[in-house]
Amino acid sequence: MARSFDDEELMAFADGAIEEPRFSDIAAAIEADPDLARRLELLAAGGEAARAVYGPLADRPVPDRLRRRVEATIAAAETVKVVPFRRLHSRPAWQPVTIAASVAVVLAAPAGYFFARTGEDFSIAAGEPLAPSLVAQLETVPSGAEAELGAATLQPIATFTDAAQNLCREFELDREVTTVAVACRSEDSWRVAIAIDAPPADDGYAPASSLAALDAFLDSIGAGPPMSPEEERRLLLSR
Amino acid sequence: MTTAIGPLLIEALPRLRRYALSLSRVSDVADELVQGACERALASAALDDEMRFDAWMFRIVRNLWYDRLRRLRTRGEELDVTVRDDLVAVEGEAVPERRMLLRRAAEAIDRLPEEQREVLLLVCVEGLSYRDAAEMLDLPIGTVMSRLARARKRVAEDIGAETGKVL
Repeated sequence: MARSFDDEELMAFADGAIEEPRFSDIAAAIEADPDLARRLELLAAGGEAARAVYGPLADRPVPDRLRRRVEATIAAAETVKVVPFRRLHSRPAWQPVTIAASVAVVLAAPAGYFFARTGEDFSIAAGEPLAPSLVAQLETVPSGAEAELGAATLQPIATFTDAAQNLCREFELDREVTTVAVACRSEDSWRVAIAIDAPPADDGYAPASSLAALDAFLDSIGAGPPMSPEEERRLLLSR
Repeated sequence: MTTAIGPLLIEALPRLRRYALSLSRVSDVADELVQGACERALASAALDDEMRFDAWMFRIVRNLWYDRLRRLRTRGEELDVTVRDDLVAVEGEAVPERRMLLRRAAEAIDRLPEEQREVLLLVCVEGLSYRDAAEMLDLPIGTVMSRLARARKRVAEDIGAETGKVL
């Protein structure tokens, strides 16, 4: 009389999930018992059928749209993780600092070309009015969230006031490159205060170090600490 | 701090889509689940060291899917699955005899109770071990094994072991 094995054990045998000496016991029993062999065959065949039906689905190419969105999400996660650290530890709020020479250089460089590459109908340059499409987003999208602008993704990073109590927003625009910018609202119009193209790091993410110039700039305009989400919502809506 | 899981997510996309598609059966919904799962994964504090990365991601996809089903149900709605995107590989099979066999297998899998179907997909299609699947589903390993054995036996009895072997 052959020993009996339950379906779970036969299945584990079929899946190579049984170790010696049990493996040899089962193998010998199957050899000697056609019913057992038949049961094993069913268990194996059921698994193979599932693989045949669903396996090939992973061979299909991932749609560009999904891949791009996931890549943007990864880049955004990187930004969100870097910013609070930078804000909390590296820049003492309210402490006036002299403008570093490097910042003056950055300010003098037009940043419009960063945006011209996208082919989108918005340009941005320090000292210039902010494009209406960006204004609309900056007046509504909370920090930490993101908005799709054609092929680009806009991510407001933080909201704060400058020394003159103008409302300012730091934001990033992601496409092939990541551009970090600050725009401030005075009266009813938004102007770009600074725009920096963050060079990508080896892993494709903008490194926090590239934002050092931005920090120095923020100090120079007397930027306050980033607002709480509640405060931000109140100020963005009050207009 | 870098998001070390970024490259892992990109690499896992084809499998995450397959799994999401096997749950939702509709491409658009599957892609939303995958995108949502990537967002959750990136926002979460840390990778669960105890769990395989893919199993961890599958779990997030699965949670999102059941959340969605629940929301639809509360609103008294149902997902429109008149077009089954999860069977594109079956319908795309060039050899008519094989296509027919694949269809029968797909129908047999559809007839399984959901709890059996899902372990079948996780272990036999996604390649999780019994233990990985048990951890992912928060089930005892014995439960996973018995559901899986029942699912495999049922499908094979439904289509015939020979068909399963041919496939």
